[in-house]
Formats: sequence, C-alpha cells, structure tokens
Amino acid sequence: MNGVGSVRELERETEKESILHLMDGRVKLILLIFIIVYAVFSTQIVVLAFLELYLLLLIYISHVSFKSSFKRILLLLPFGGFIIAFQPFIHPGDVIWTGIFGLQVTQQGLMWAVLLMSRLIVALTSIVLLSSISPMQEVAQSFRKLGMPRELAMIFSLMIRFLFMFYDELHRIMHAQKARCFDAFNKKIPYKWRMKQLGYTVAMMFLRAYEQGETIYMSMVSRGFSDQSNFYQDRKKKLGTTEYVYIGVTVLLVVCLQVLAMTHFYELGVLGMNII
Amino acid sequence: MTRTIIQTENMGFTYPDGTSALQNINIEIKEGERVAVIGSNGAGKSTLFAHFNGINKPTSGHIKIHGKPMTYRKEELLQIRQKVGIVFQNPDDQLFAPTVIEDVAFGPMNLGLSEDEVDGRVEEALKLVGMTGLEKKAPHHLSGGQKKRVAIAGILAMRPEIMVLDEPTTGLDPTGVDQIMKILYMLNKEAMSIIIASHDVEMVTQFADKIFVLHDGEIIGQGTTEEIFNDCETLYKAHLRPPKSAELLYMLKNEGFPVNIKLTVDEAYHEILHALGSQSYHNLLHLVKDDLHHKLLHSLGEDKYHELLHLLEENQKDVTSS
Repeated sequence: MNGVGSVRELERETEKESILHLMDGRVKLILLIFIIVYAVFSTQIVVLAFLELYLLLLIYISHVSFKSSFKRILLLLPFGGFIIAFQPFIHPGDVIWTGIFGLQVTQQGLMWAVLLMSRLIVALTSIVLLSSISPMQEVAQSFRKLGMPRELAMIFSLMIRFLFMFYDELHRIMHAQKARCFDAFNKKIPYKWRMKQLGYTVAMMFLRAYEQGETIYMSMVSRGFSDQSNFYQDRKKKLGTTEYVYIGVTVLLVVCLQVLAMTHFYELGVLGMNII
Repeated sequence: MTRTIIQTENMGFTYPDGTSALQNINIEIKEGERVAVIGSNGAGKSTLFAHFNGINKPTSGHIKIHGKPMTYRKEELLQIRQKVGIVFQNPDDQLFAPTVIEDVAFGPMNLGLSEDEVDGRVEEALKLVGMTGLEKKAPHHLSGGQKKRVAIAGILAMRPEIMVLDEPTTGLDPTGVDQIMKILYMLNKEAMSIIIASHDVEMVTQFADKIFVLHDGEIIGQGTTEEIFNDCETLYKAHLRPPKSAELLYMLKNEGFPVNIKLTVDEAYHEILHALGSQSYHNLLHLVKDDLHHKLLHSLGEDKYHELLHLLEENQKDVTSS
C-alpha cells in the first residue's frame, strides 16, 4: 500500500455511514483523547484489555473494516515498539532468563514491556478509529471549536487541504516517470542514477509547493486576508441524543473500570496486578 | 450615466529584478461592462489584474477606483478588495480551506461581518453558482468545473461591484464552459462589471463588448469586438488568431470577394451566401450533401429561403440580446 493509496483508502472509510460517523466531531475527538489519557495512566493489563475490547466494538458499530484498521495499527506499531523491545533487558528486577553477552531478561521488565505495548495498542486503536470515522476537515473544525489557537488552526486546515493536492501532484510526477519506463527498483540501471531521479522528484515537489504557496497567499490577500483573519465555524450543529448516549457509555465504562481496578481486578493475578 | 469603476493612467510595472511587465497602460472600465483582455501567454494579463485590487502596486503612473487614486492604506485595500473580486486561473490556488463552506465564507469573515450575515452570503453565493448541497465537500472531491464555480462563489460572497476572472474557461469541458459563461451573463445582467483575461478568442467574441489587446506588457489595441476582430494585423502581432469564421472571411476579402468580417459561424454562413449568390450556394449544398437546407431551398424557392435566413438571423440576435 503506497502513501497515495492509503490516504485515499482512509478517506473512503470516513465517508461510510454509521452512528459514529454522523456524530459531532468534538465528541468523537474528546472521548478518544479521554480513552488515550486513561489508558496511559492505567497500570493494570486487564483495564487496557477492556478498553481495547470497547474500541473494537466501536470499530464494529462504525462499519470500519477490521482488516484495514489492523493493518494501520501494525504499520504504526514499530514506532513505539522499538522502545518497548528494550524494556525487558534494561528494567531491574528478578532475572528469569540469561542469554549471550550477559543479556538478562527480568520479570518486572517483561511485565513493564507488556503494559507499555498494551497502552500503545489502545492508543493506536483510538487514533485509527478517530481517523476512520472523522474526515480530516472535521477534525480540524473540532479542534477550532475547542479553542485551538487561530494560527495553529489555520496551519492545520491548510495542511489538510494541500496534503491531498500534493499527493495528487506526486502521483502525476510518478505517472510521468512511469510513462518513460522509470522504475526505482530496476537493478539494470545504476543505483546512483536512480537515487538522483528520486532526489529530483522530491526537489520538484518542494519547488511546486513553494510556488503554490506564493499564489495561494496572493489569492488569500485578494479576499482580505490579514493577521486578524479567522476561519468560518459551523455553528448549526448541536449535540443530540446519540452524542449524549456515547458520552454516557464511555464515561460509565471508564468509571466502572476504575472502581473494579481498585477493588476486584487484583484477584485476577498477573492481568490485574499493578505494574509500576 | 454609467460610472467608471477602474481607470489606469500611464500605468507601468517593473518587477524588483528589473523585468518590465507592464508599460503605459491606459484603460477604463465602466459599470456593467463586459470586458476582455486578450493576449498570448506571458503578455502581462495576470500582472495587470493583480493591480486592480492592490496586490501589485504600479511602479509608474496610477490606478483609480471610482475616480480616486489608490493609496494602498490597509483599510482602503480591504474596501477595494471587497469591490474588486479576482478569480484566479487555477482554482486550486484559491480554494485553500478544507471544505467548500469554509472557503466561501473566508472573504466575508475577513470583512468582519456577523456570523448570520456570513451564513446568508455563503448560502446566496453557492445558490447563484448552483453548488447548494455541496457545502461540506472537500475541494479535492470536486471536478474542475465545480472548483471553478466554488472559486467564483468565494468572490461573490464578498458582493463585489466588479469581477475579474483570469482565464475562466481554461481546462474546462464544453459543459463546464457553458455553466461558467451562464453565471457570468447572469451576474452581468444584475449590473456587475466583468473583466476576463483569455486567449480563447471564440469565447471572447461571444462574451465581451469591449476588448483590450495586450502584448509584451502594452495595450496594442482596444475597441468593440467587431473593431478588434476586423483588425487581424493587430491580432497576429499579439500572437493571437481571429475566430475561425472571421479568419475565413478575412482570407476571402483579401482575395477580392465582397465580404465583411463576421465573428460567429451563423453570420459568416450568411455572409458567404450573399457573396456567392444563390446558384453557387445551391451547388455548394449539393457538394456538402446538406439535406435540410437543400429541402428548404427547394420547397421555399431561392428568394423566400434567403428571407428565411434573414428572419433566423434576427431571431438569433433577439435571443442573444434577451
């Protein structure tokens, strides 16, 4: 799956129709951030397992493809996974395995790694779910409605608009190269030359972005843009029953999990143990 | 009396690197006029347009809006940019917001209008260009023609007195061109002045009632559509070609045929019929195997058929003017 394809695929997911898709963007954004924050502060694996199950249920309700969601989670996992992979070896505790060069795995280190991995999976599932049920423009609107600083909000909105345009631009350049038989992986052609062509492509993208930036600024100025300019905000949408139900269910789940974590989960052994 | 909205006096513009882009520009655009600036690529059309709302400042001469020379003060510029709306050639240069509604609302928001007023103007502008219902769409989901219409709506929402469009039909299919032209005719009917830049002479012939020919940053010709397209020398000098019909008649005229230059295909058709005479025309119909005109000619007789063509021409003129 290349970059262009994945962006378009993600867009198609956001165009599906479900209760979650139709919900107010602010509610989706706040609740998923709420889940991420709660997951980060949780120290019991069982709590994270319940949160993950809840997120999977939401993915099911929103008709988002499980396959593409898992694929995206797997693609993102290595970024945090790399740090987690070291934890069993560097965390002090009871040694459970000794390998070559004196490498030792501790039980506490292993449990810490599992906890971190669980947190990471919950956080990534939340992000994948949010990006699958909310078009990027809706996320930008929600951030603005929630009081994101004007300059940041404008940069964010511009980025969303031109991300797609530059993907199209890149696609066109790649097409033009393919039409003249260019293949970056063709081993019959010198490696250095192929790298040079890829370098030209990136340079061309920067140049076009720069030129486009100049013209866009002119067109914005033409419509009265100044340092005081604001983006329009849709004020018509008000929270409905589904939004309140979603907020209620999520908050209730977190409260129940927290109560159980403090009173009963320790009985579950390793899964319910507090890992610090 | 119709007011002059834009007037330039000996205006010139030189880029900071010393490249001279415009020299000695003298133009006058009045309320309700349909004006075209024609010229080849690099003639200076876009640079000229950037002066109309103060994006570029002339390096010599000056520009007047409603008779007052532009001072380029911040508050004045905002007023001028509200009065003179520019639609850029490439809609992707103009549509920068993540959704259609946010983009169209951008101009009115900058005018400091109330939220209700902004909502009203957005709704009205989108209705005028036939884009109601697509408010939440992302610009990259729109077709070329739709993007252009949204770009126009973004300007309309500022309620300008004059609309300047840089190459409004470039890259559009015939349906897209028709839709844009319909919108422009409609706006002009409501007394809005329209200025377009183009090298599509066929479209300009249909649309404009006043034309400026720009070449290498200078106005080398100005006048009514008929005046400009009767002067093929000036057009060739500007690296432009007259409309096909005019070009054909121009060639015939140079060969000594008694024809006048006509700008549309229908007018040229009739002009050639006059020049050839009925018999030759009858032979021509045999040659091109035109059944419809041939049947009419036989059933009506040559004189009545000729009269019919005149009636059709009059009718066509009435339809166009209404």
